[in-house]
Amino acid sequence: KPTFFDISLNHIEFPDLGERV
Amino acid sequence: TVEQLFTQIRKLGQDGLHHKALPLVIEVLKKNPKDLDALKCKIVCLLKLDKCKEAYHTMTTDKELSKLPMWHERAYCLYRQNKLEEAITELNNAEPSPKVDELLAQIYYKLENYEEAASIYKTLVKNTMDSYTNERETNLAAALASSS
Ligand SMILES: [K+]
Repeated sequence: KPTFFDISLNHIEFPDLGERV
Repeated sequence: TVEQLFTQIRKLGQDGLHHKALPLVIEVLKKNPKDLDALKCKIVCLLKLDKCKEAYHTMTTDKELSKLPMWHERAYCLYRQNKLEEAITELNNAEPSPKVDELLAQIYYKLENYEEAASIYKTLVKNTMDSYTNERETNLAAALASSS
């Protein structure tokens, strides 16, 4: 079975918390 | 304070330590259950920790979160639960974007529609410059090898 990456999981990220910190 | 918690949460997220971030996110939500940033962070933590079922349940039942257009996150949960047709339906609601296409390619690959997956990857490889170019080339090669 060829290698296949779950790239979509990397696109799931915290929202920009810049205003909250 | 909530600010201090978010400072730590952001840092832990950048370091990929979502198992450490989640308890802090829950602490924020104890103070304010309607904090949208914290709610979104909770979903991200759950997805990164492979708790897709719980994430989907939270997104669809939480009063605040269910109002938000979290198409990508919802579709990703469905994809991980092998509800592939439902995942495609969810993505049909989303604004077209490379992120949406990337998940679509993975869904078609899982559906063994390798031609469609390869076609999406060809376009993504041509148009996308990010940290995942090698992984994307590998996925394109996998789709092409499987379709031949
Ligand atoms: K993807």
